Amino acid sequence: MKGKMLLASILSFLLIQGSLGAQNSQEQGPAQERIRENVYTLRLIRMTQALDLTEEQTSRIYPALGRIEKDKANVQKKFASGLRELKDLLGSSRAGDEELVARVRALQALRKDLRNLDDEFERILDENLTTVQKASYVIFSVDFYKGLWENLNKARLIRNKRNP
Amino acid sequence: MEAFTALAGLYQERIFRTILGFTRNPEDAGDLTQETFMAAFKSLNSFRQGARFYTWIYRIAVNSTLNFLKKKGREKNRTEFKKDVDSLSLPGSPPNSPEGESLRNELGRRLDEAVSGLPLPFRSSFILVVHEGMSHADAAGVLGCSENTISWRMHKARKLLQQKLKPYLDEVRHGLP
Amino acid sequence: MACRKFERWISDDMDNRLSDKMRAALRKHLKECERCRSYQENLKILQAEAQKPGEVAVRAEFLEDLGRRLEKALYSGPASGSEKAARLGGRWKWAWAGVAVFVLALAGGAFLLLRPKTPPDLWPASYEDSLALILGEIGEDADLAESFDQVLEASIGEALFEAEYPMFWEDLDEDEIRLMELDIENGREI
Repeated sequence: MKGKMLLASILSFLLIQGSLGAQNSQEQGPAQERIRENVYTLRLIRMTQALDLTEEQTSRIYPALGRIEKDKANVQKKFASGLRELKDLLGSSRAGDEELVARVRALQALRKDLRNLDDEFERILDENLTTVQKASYVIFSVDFYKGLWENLNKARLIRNKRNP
Repeated sequence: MEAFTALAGLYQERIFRTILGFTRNPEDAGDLTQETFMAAFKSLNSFRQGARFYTWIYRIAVNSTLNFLKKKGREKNRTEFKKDVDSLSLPGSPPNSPEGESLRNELGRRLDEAVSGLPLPFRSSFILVVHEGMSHADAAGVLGCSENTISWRMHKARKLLQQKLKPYLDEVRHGLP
Repeated sequence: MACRKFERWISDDMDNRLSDKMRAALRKHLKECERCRSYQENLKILQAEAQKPGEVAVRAEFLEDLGRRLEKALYSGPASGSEKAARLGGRWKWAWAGVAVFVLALAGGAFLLLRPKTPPDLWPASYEDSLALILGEIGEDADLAESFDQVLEASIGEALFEAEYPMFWEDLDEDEIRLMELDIENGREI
């Protein structure tokens, strides 16, 4: 799937998903929220290119992806809120052990929900990709993560040069 | 050795010109050209059969030159590539007149300075592609990067040069019939 | 945005890098865009000027000098045995060993301090865990967050609008990154 079709489908999909950022902007801070959105967008574009998805595949995978990302955003929102409350509680030294344990368990459960949503995404891919594409996805995932880390190193250089 | 010396004769002037583009000093360029061929002769075993002698010898030349420049600190001391452009005070003359000729000479001189002021990766690519007429593929082979990186570097080098020399270029263009 | 893309195409056209389709699109744009036409004309002048033969030629006796130097390099022997032994052996060997250890220690320390951070080998790890690690690295550093965001946006722009010119970050060095930073600060495309 090349050129303009890729561009059109990704842009229209992202417009539909545009409310994703607004949900979390207050809890996570605007900068980190923008990063999360941009990583998501970049992952989408790179994955489409790396796997050479067909129009039919994107029409099946993208909506599921969008739904999962929205669900993750909601979980993230709850996680961030829960984390803030836990920090306040620890700071106030009012909470007993039982309450702390309960809150930690709640956060662990939310973390598990996030992982489950990731697993669900991978299951959807598994159902819709060819064998070659599945293999490509494995390689893509590792490369994408390493690429993010390299981008972070580049950003550090830029930051260091701005603030010597 | 006679065969190698014959090959050296074939490429010597081009290698010298390429290195001169980097060093801007004929004496240094001459020494580095000789060093290039000596290094190539000593490492002939590393030259794979079927590989192109052309890109192989250029790679040695460029690496030797870049190492020389880094050691000499020339790269760090290069004229800072200022974004501000010098103000122009040139007569508006047609290019075929004596005044027009000085306009082209001035542009040529400024271009040499501007190319010398480019960051090394851009300068390397520009010299190999424009001065030496290499394809992006060959330049990528010499510099050890991808063709697309060469393409991007050429675009940035040209854009920077155009920004720096715009007043001179506009004068030359307006002087054309 | 379109003119910025065409500036790149104008450069590639000068090096015969464009497909027929892209060249046709460029020609069409140039008919309509005075700014890009001027840019192309300027680049053509620069190209012609840069390709003029230089005034400095190789010395006539250069080839003879080269032949003599090569012959000397080929047939001159190595340093005499006693000289080598004096340089590398005997009472000096412990000094050389000490220097080697010191240099290695310095190099190791420099490597540990200065190496770019590499990602922990977490594969197979979930996307969320990977992202959480990256966000954790950024932490409260607002400047780093902003720089990283800009780098991501540049990557997205590159991926979307210049799919035929993927940028290979690993080929770029500090000077090129510095120029990118200037472009980012001035709101120009990368």
